[in-house]
Amino acid sequence: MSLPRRTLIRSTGALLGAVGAGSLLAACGGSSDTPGGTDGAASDATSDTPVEGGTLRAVFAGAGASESLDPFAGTSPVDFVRNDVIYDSLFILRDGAPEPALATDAEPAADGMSFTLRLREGVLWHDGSAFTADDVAHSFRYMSSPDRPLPSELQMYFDMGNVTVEDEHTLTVPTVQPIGDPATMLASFPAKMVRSGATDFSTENAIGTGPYRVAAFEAGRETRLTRFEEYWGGASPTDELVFSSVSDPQARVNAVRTGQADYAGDIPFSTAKAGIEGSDLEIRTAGDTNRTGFAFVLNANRAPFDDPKVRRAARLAVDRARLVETVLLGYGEPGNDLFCKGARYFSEARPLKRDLEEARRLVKEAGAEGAKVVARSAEYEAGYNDSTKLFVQQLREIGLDAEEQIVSLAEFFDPAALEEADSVTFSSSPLPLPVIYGRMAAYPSFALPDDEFGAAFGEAMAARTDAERRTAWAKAQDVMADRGNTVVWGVADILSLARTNVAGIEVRDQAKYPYLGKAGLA
Amino acid sequence: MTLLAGPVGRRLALRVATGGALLAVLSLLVFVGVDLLPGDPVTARLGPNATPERVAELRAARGLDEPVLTRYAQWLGGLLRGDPGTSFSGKPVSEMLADRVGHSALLAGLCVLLLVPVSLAAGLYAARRPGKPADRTVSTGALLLVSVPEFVIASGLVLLFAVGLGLLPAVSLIPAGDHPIRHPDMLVMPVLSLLLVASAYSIRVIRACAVSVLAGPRVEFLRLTGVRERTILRTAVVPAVLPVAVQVWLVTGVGLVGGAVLVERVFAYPGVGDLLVTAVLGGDLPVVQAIVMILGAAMLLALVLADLAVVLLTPRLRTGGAV
Repeated sequence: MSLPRRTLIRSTGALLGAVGAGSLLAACGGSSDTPGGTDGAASDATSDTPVEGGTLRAVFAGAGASESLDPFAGTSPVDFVRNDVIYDSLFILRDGAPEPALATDAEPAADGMSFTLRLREGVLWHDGSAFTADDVAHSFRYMSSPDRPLPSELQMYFDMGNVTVEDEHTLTVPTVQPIGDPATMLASFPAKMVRSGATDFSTENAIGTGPYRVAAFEAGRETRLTRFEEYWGGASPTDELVFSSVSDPQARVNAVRTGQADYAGDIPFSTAKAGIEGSDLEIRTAGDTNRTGFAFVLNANRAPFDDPKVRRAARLAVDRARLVETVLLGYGEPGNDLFCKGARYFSEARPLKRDLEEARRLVKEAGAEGAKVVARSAEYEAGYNDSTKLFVQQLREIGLDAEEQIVSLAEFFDPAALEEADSVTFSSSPLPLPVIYGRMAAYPSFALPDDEFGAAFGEAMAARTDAERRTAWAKAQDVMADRGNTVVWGVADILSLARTNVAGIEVRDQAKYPYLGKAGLA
Repeated sequence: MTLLAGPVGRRLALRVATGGALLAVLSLLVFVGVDLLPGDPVTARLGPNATPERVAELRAARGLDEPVLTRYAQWLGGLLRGDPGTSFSGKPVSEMLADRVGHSALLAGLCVLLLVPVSLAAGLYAARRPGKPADRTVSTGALLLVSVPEFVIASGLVLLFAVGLGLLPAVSLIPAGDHPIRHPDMLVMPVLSLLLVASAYSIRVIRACAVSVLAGPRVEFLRLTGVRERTILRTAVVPAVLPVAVQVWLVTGVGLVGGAVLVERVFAYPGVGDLLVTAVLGGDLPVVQAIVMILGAAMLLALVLADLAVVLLTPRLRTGGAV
């Protein structure tokens, strides 16, 4: 089973950028002595309601000419944000929990090996036709087709090609392992619904059920979207959304600063630190439950990190405070080595305190003194390479012969090289735990070979009640906290720049790709 | 007609033939060179845990399991038919390049249009006052501009004209479906950034050439016979400087098409430079190969044209006095 790179991008943040959305914000405009930050006077930007009408102009990082209206092909922030308002998913995530969207219910069978999917009635496509079970069956087949360069990850869990259409609004979906909470899986992985038979996503044929329809699109430049009045979730406040693709973060800032746009995603920490003049501008953070976890994933399948003692030593060696200060410029806080802070069932263990003496003792005890450690990194997100260099220095301090292996983005995912690396730099937003641990288990160099962890993970995936899931995830994360292979050294703020009157921006699955279907100008 | 049949025609035919041969060599270098870039396009696309079968499948589907020379032959065949292949994103490369080559050429073209009078005027102005403060100012200014990276100049212009004075848009957000030519306000700063960098080199070359002509015996003779400075400039200096200047302008112009990468990025201008960066980062080799090939061919064409211009502008070459 292959995990396409897109899923990695989706889980780590984008190739060239990321986007923040506002629930907690720190005003920055005008007062240069208090450049954006989360510790200052924070106010709630989403309390304003957008007024009817008007145009909202937003800039995001794009992918040039390879951007696409095919919801399963685009890989850049602008692709995700745009396709999020054109197409709908069966379920969406809200505060980490699944909420019905195009489906109303996903009920697992007694053995967890299939589930019944019930669809919302009265949903219309942009061309006026009705949304039915056939559309879902086609979408499942289309997104998981092996001919696609990026087949859907959901096929790790669901048998996507063997869906049975029971009636116009009901389907039965077989699974490949017991799944107790299919709705969370459908909400967490990219799974937009397209019309039955749709394979061409040119401007005219990009038809979804979302709150906006495509008026004009030019890859790498601009998308103009107009409100879809018959939207099943109630028409959006704003008449028109205009998304522009701007790769350079400073250019995005300039576009908002000079009035060419109202909202810009992925603002570099350095820009925020310097402050941005303008009384009607503010730098927003997505809040402390929507931060990106920055990490080094240790390869537990080869020496020296196959020894839990050396893994613990690496965690004791890492200087979290210094990394947060130098790499994140203070926009964040030290992490506790567990991914997905802010997600449901996340374990709030305290970060390990730096203890070089204990770390050296553990390395010695494991007989790993002078062991070679290769830390692989590419600048997938700003800060990857700098953090890796610091980590290497810190590993040297405890007697490991560490060296960094900085490569280009095109080389980063070479499977053979990943398997030979001892540490891979990685990051993740607060995805639901099944997603992040499922992904890690699927990557040979990221998986933790631990029976207790594996059993707890399986239990969590099959659990049918909230209480069962909570217990199982606590068990799995206890193992990670004790002898795990992730060194999540910090969680970083997700920043955006907006005019003060931009309102209604929501975080659904990831703050880096905010949902603009209900956004507008207040 | 008579010109083409004469020495100029011979020279042109020779240059075109050499250009064609060079282009063939270039195509091989580009294809093999890009192919050797670090990184594997297939694994870059499929992610770290793709099964070996899936990798092999995609490799075969993309024809990557064939020997490099076979792939080169197929690629060259496609190029000759006007089909540069398919990007790893699944889109035809020709579609991805279609507008962008034109957009970059527009920037470069506008820049050269301004470059010609600006560099000629500044170069001659400085040359007529060698060693004087005016010359020093022009020469030092040009040297400074040559040394500053173009994106610094571009960022400076943005700060001044967009953020500070609010006169021009900071980013070239060309609406979907529109051609940049319909938004001249969005072209001003990209063109100006390129012009500042490009003119610096041209000014220095023109100045140096004009200085040596002005110090030469022909100008001395004209001056002694009482010909006015303005006439000397028009009849003796400019004709002597032009063959060199035209070459500099043409080569600079082509260089601008591909060399505007950073300027295009600062202004988010939808040109070929931005596409090239994205393609290199993502390991999208067919796109990289096509762009490099187009730029290479344009450069060869510019050199042929420059050579032709030299012949046409030099009487002794034009009439076959000496080849």
